Amino acid sequence: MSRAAAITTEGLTRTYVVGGKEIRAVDGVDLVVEHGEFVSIMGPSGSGKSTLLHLIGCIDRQTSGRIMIEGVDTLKLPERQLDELRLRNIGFVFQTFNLLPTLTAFENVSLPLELAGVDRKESSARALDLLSMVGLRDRSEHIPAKLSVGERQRVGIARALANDPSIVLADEPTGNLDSTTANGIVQIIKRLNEEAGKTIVLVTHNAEVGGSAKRTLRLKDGKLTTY
Amino acid sequence: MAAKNLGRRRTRTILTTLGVTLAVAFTVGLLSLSEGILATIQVEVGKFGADIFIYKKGMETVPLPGMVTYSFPEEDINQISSLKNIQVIVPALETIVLGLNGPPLIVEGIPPSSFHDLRPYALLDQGRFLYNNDTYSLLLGHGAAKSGNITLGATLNLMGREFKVVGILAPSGDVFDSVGFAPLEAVQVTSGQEGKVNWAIVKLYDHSQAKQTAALIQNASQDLSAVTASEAVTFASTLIGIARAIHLSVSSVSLLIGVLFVFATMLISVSERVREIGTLRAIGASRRYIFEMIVAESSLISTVGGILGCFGGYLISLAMNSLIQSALDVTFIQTAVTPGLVAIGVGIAVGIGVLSGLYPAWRASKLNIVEALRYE
Repeated sequence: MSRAAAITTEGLTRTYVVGGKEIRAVDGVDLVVEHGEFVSIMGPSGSGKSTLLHLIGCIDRQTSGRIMIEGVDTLKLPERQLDELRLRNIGFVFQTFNLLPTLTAFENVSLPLELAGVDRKESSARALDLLSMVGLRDRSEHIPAKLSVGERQRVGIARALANDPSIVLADEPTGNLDSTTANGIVQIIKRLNEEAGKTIVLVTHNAEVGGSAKRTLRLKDGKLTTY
Repeated sequence: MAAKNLGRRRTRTILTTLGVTLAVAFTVGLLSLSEGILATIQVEVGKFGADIFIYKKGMETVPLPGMVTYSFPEEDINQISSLKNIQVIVPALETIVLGLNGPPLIVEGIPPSSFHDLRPYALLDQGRFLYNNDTYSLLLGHGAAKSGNITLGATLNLMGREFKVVGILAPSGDVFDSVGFAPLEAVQVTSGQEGKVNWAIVKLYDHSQAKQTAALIQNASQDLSAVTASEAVTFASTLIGIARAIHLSVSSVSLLIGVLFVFATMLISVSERVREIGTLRAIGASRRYIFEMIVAESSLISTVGGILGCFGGYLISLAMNSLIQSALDVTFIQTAVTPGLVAIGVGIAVGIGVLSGLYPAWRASKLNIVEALRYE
């Protein structure tokens, strides 16, 4: 039996009611992302890219349709199992890094390992390995405020990889970076896909960043226009 | 992580901790008074060397000066003096004399020969003890003489009669340090209660039979109540328990303020960290993790405040000691911060922490992840 796709969505729809008017942020999206794929989702602001990513990442719930993560229908999972799914199978990279300001780079990367109950020794080694991988081993004891924006995003990527998830979801990961720094981040993400075999779904409105993916999807008014 | 989060807003955390510290210090300080009085009673009751205390039926109280107000006929005592196991009975009539130079003076009227049965360890400082043929003689405790500025040989007008001070006791540091002793008959006459007494102590040959002998006394006289020494302490504990409840209800206002302090701090803290909480949830933290994190923070603040509050309470109790000593000139009432009281103080603090953290924690755990991530 063939392995289930990393991500499958069927008729995925998310509507909001704003001022009594229904807005279809994601409108009947059918999508299959295979294991090891690097897919970028592009579209203008307000096209529903981030909402689609949130739905795939199980931090938002669809109004209708289905999402399967590695063959598991997320609609059937209780909340605790969705937490587990996010913790172990999905890594999030945010546009604004979203590092915890009181924790050092090392502690930020260790956090998902602590949540997963990994013992301290193993989690320390893993966090340091990941910080080395993003070139920040010597900055591990710095809090986010003492890091450059590019370094913060690299810590964010290291954190996303802490529990070795098979899927990495990146929401405008270069949106707050200058082009040189952005290029460095894109290279790291490409390496994750090519060398570590991670399935990457990257949302961006930057054509250059989007172009680095093997497949680019376009979203307009919540609908996929290129598949 | 809880400590780091609290460290982020240092001034606010310190102020909140201070709020809990004051609430707990006030509570512990107030309760140390009732604890101290209970400890005093236990020591004082022990000092009598008495096995049983006798009161008018239904008027049982703590066997300390100033606590007995009802009298009964002295002959009731005679009825029971021949009962088995009774070694000695010391009847006493107590009266409070006002209008002296110093504070009100409690005078214990006792048979002169029984003084050493009532106060086995009393020593003389000046003069002599009471003699059997004394009439209007007065033996003063050291504290009573000092606070009233009364010297040996002085004559005091007690309720219209002249009493001569024949002796002053050495300082004893106990409740009887501030009372005077006079022959029973003289006190009965001057207070207009001839043939009456209001309490008595009983010493037994066999101390282990106190309960049985008390029952015998109870059977022999319908009008008397016999309370064993251990029952007297229990009775005192009940009274102190009531006092403690009153103290607690007074201090509950300050505790409530402590709860509101921590509650407000945690609520503000959660509202400032909505996005962080959203991030934590997005990377896999459960609602329970968030809930426990917030409760841990509020408990940490409160526990630290509670420990500091116990120290503060100790300082308040020391201040109350010197206040009591300078105002009342007595040394036997010593406030006491016992280990039990420290446990109560810290327990209350932890309770404040958990209680005040519950709602902010619930709110934090219920945040919508997407909305939290977008929160500016």
